[in-house]
Amino acid sequence: MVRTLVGIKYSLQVENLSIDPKTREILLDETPKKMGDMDKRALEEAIRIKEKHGGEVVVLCIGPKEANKILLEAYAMGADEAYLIPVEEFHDTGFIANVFSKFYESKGPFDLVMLGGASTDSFSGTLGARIASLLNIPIIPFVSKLDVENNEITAESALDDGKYTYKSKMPVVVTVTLEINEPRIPKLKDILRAKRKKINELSVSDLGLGEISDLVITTDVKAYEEKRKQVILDASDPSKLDEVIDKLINYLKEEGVL
Amino acid sequence: MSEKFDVAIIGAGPSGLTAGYFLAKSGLDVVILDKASELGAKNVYGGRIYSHVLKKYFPEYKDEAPIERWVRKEQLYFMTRDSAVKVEFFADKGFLEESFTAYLTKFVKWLGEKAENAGALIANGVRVDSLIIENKKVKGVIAGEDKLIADYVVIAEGANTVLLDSLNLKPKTKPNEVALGVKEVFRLDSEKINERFGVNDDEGVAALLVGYPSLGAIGGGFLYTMKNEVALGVVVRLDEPARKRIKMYDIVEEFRMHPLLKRLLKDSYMIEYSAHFVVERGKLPDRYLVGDGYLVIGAAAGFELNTGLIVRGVDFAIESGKIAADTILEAHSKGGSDRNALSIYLKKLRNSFIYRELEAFRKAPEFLSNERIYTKYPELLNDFFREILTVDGNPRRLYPTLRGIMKKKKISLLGLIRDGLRAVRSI
Repeated sequence: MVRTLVGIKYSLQVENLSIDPKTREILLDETPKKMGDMDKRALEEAIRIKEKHGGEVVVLCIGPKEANKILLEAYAMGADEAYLIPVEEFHDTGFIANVFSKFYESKGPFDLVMLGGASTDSFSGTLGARIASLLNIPIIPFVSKLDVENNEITAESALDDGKYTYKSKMPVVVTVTLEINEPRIPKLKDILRAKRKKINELSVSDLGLGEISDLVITTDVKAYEEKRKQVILDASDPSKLDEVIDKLINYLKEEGVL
Repeated sequence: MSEKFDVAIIGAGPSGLTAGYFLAKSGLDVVILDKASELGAKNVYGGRIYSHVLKKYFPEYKDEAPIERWVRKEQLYFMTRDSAVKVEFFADKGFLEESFTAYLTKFVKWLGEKAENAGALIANGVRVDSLIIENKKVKGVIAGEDKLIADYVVIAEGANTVLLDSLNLKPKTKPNEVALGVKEVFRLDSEKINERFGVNDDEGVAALLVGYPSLGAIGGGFLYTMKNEVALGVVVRLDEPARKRIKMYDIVEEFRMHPLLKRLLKDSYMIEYSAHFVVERGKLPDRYLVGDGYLVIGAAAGFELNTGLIVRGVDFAIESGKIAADTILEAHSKGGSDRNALSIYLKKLRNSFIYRELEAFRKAPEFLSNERIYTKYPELLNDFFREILTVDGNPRRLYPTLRGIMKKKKISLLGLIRDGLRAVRSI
């Protein structure tokens, strides 16, 4: 029996970012959102572990109210209990780790904490380590293969410099990469079952947390501007064509293209 | 294990959701299945909803529905490559509540919430592949490996009738019976919209554009002002691009670059684009609308109307959804679900504005497939104004000027009169 807590983020679909061309700011409302790619794989892995060893999968999302949508999806995939802690603003991983750890303590005990290796949008990759340190339990990051046996896990991480294999006692925090599995697509029955389940809501104060302030404040996010040089060579007069071609060649040489 | 419902509705658009709302409200166990990952995600239309059905069935819509602007200006443009003749009706205040612009995605979400609150179960991300058919009677739906049993199945799959076609429940759609609509949404500050279109905050513009928008193909353009956006699009009959060797992509690009639209859209930027089918053939024959255990509603039934001046779909969808709900409730109370029990659907349709209007305008599709409307006549109109408004010392009297242009354009007077009469007769 393995009781797993999975954290999922209501992430921006970065491939569909909407950007204001004047200010270069990201238009958050227009940008579609989804369950983070790696988060979804963490959830899938937790469900597979439950299917093999029995137990329970509890899913937590700390995000806006609309994130209900991905918790419903989590139910359809096979989660047993889903919780939303609604927050209005964007928060740093310090804030999220604090809330997450408090939730872990209040709804525990858990054998396993599963997270995506990094979120799809802000991609800091630090949340798992922060949670582990707050809870004072071990962490194995960027796992691409996971096995659970007798209160112990074996995990493989393929990192830049080689493949690592770890063993750890539970409870343990595991963050996963995209390679670990291919998440299931919920079927009609799963979706209907999910629709009948209730998404639990908790507030930060329900967890007995007072004011937490972010340690890092994001003051500005702007998309890169791709500046074009927009040089126009006038070739409308055919008699001057040779001249224009020379100009073009010279220009390309100056730019180091030729 | 198989789930069992009183009613399974395929498609969570305006028609399916309305049917689901009224059925669930009356206590039936209703499931609405939709392949989009969330409500509204696959719904596309031009931009306007006529309010009459909402007044009737959802009088609270004025406070609740996601209305963008009430249509104050109705415009019809006849365009050539670089000019345009515009006819505008600036509506009096009494006309204001006639119709409004809205995003269908948001509108569908609103209707969906109402249906869910009434007790309907909406399942998104479900593609219905087939129907359970036993002894020629529809008994439920099949999605992937899952089956779902239902006493009544309502097919509200929209204009792209994949399910009906695959089960041979109607003749296959021909390319000249549907059109492809492509829509782009441009962000523009509301003050700029108000200034450029000459409207106040809550007032909007609905425009149809003929001629250049479709590059002479059978079809046309549309423009609707939202609060902070302008929705612009082109609808072209599906067989036209292939026949005329033009690309849909080019049509959309060229349209947007028209000098008049460039001025209206200056400093805006595109935030969204989408495409969808539009039914042009008129409604399906009665025998395909009802069968043993099922009904067909909304755009899937062909309940869409284009008169050349007015393009409608959502109000027909809502009305047909309500009629389907009434039909099922009546049949359910008598315990029947075969074709016989459900055939009151046709009777109710005949007594509704759906049939009255589709019948009255049944000749419109034929009239609108006259190519001259999209090529010669917009040119004639533009050339005519250009000529008579030119001052260069040569007198230009109306009639001789018109005849001169007609001669140049090879438009016969008789043909023009004939087309005019056709217009009068069909719309």
